[in-house]
Amino acid sequence: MNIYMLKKEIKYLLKNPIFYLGIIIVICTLVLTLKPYLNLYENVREENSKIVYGDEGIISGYIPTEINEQRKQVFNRIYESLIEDFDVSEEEATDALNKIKKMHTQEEIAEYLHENYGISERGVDNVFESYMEKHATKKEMQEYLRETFSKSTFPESFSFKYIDYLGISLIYLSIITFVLIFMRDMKKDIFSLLHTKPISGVSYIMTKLLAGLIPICVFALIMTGIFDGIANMVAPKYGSEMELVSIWVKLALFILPNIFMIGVFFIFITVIFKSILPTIPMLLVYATYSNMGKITESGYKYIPNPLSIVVRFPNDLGNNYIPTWTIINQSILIILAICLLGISIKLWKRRRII
Amino acid sequence: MIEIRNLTVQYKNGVKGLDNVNLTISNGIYGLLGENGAGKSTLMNVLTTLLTPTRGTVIVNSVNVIPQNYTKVKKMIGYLPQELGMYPNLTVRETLEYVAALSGVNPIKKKEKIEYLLERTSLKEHEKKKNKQLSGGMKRRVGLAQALITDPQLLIVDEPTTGLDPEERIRIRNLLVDFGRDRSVLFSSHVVEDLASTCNDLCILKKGKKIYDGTIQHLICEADNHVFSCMLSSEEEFLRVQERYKITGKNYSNEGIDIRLVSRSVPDVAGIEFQYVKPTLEDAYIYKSSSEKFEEI
Amino acid sequence: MKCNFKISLPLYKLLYSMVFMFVMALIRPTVTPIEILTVIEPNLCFLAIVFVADIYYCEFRENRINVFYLFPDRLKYKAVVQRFLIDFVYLVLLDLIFYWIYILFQNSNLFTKEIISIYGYSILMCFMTVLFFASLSVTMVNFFQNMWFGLVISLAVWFVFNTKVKEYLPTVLNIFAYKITPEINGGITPYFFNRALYMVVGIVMLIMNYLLVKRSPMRKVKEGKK
Repeated sequence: MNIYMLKKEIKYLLKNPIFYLGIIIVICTLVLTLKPYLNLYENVREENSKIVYGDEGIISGYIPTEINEQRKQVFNRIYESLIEDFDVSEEEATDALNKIKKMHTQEEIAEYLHENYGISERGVDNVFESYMEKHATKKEMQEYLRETFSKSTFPESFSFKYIDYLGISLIYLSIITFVLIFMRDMKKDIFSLLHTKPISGVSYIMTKLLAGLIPICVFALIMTGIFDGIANMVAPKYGSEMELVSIWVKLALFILPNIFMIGVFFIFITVIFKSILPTIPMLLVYATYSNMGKITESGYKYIPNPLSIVVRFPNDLGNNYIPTWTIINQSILIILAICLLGISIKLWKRRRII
Repeated sequence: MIEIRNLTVQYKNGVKGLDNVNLTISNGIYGLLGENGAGKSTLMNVLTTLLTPTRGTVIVNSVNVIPQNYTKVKKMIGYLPQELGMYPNLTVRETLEYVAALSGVNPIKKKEKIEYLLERTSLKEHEKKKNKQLSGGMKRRVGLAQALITDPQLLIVDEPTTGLDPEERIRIRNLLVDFGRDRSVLFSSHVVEDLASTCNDLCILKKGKKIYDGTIQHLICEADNHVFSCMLSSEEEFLRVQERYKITGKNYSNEGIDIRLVSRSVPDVAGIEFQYVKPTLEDAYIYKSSSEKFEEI
Repeated sequence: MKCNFKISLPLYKLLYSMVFMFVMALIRPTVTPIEILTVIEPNLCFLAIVFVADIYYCEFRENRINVFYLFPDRLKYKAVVQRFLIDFVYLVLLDLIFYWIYILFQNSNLFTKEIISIYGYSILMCFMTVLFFASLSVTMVNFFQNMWFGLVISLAVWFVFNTKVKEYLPTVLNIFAYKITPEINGGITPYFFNRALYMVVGIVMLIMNYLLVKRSPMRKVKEGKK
């Protein structure tokens, strides 16, 4: 690795206004997406106003409905639906209702209604989902948050959402950064000239990679410090304890390896096509793949994909966790990135002319 | 015929690319010589309408080169820049056809013209090769052919022989001489030998100012009796001479170090004998461009 | 025309565009044909921005601009428009072909009335939106005479329409807007008015390029920056 070249590259990058445009994009994305989590009392319902059910999420002031309340609302809805939509008499509907009230699980209820009235299981699931959350009052929200953050603190819960959105927005910054790092060198004459200089492929590629990774990582560290501080300042408002470490652990696990892979992938595509233009759509494809969920029996769900460059935590605040396999995935990602790096270095050495 | 009067180009940072230059270029090949940053490219950019001058007038074949007339002027000009990347995936013939179409050449005359240019530039047997397969010299000939496709009244060539082998250089030079018979050719080059072989008239620019405008013969005559040679026995002697005089040639031989230098008067270095020699164009250029800074000036 | 084909559709562009569309079809599963509209259209627009950016800028990049500038303005503009149209037609062709790749991955019955009508929608929609984004990309690059500036701005516009920011826009200004129509097409219908509006903006930008190709490439030198 060439320290002098590294310093020059970073200096050049920091002088370029487009790099700061990327920074602004990331900051704006983080602020827009995370701000609602820092003021969860903003969208709560007025006391004594009508209760509305839905699945808008905690940032819209919705909390999970208590199971008994949910069942009560679901049974009422089923009762109405049997009479209005399925032409069942009131007596028969009441009878059905009494039977399903004795059932404990959603699956039993769905099976019974499907067998006796032809109601699809998906339909029953939809009814249960529509009453899964309710618009809470401030008091209800406070109680819910106190309970949630007794199990895991607000900073820890918040860190999942932070890492989620940081991962997505850093893809944009990474594309911008690596484009700026490589665009001068991919001109025909410069590309050939570089191959006549006494710089090894390893040294050149590693220097370029680090010149892109270092500013992004420093920026990520600064943003993490700021949001960690903010989360800990807000924590007492939600009745939660402060906690400083978990966000950094997640940064190290889910952001740093992913940025490394993005950088290596960028270099790999650049060297293959001998141009930086194709890297932009290719990275979009990779990001889309990483962000894709799967269609399951219960509908569309985010299920992390192998070797994805972004790890999402789509569940609501307090309901996210780190699946064991993601740690394995991140390790494999690093190994694959190192292999791709080796291939890129070999390719760069062989392809001396554009 | 090109007339340039009081031409000045001043950049925003205050630097003058050209400073009150007056020139008249008639038919034939007109050489343009000068050190790096002298203003040669600036002059060419003004003539090709890429730059608008700060002051002064330029008239090309009775057409004043002002923004309102740029379209007319562009039709009269053929330009071969120093660096010209041709379309890599097009063949030679396709390149010329494409340039002809873009230049608005009459479609009926286009084929005939392309055939003529391919013959004259000896590219006929390479017409089906892609540009990326051509050597440097062939690419330069394609560049020259595209500059001539519209039969321009003024041909501007910027260092057309740089980096070419001697055979290619001679070929390009001869082409320029042929094409310069009935039009004006402005030939900018650092290779003095090329200018000497092709041009009758020459202009020397230095830091945006014109320091010479006239025939090559006259320039050489001005340097007559100001060019000397001598044989030195050691490097120390050479260094003593170099401190005081402008060396234009140095050659190691069995007898010692054979040097050539320019000086306003007979050089006076203890223990060394100098002889007058006939100046070349290069000597004359060095003499002219350095005349303010000569030792004993 | 033949030369413009070779200039604007080099092999590497064909390769990466097809890889992009194919991999997108592979990784982005759709359950119903109508979903294909919401997937193909924005991705094709993204590809268009990158694909079309350098149709004029290649003259700068490959050191031909000083000579290209000398050609008559009308003919320069004609060349740029021809190159644009070649790339644009190719992109619409990608939509024509890759729609069926999505259908094949769905294992749907190929010739239902619904699939054919959605196919028609897809072509029409992509025609309008790709025209806008391609035109935006070319115009921005030509305006700044800098490919990366132009690309960044065009991609930023694309991101506005594909992220949460679009929720702050009125519907009429959202180029990718759909309305919920459960009885038609399986659930959603695109707003053609929006797309038509942006298409017109795209055509206007394309016309404006006449002024942009007229400009001297030495603009930066005139301002004292060498």
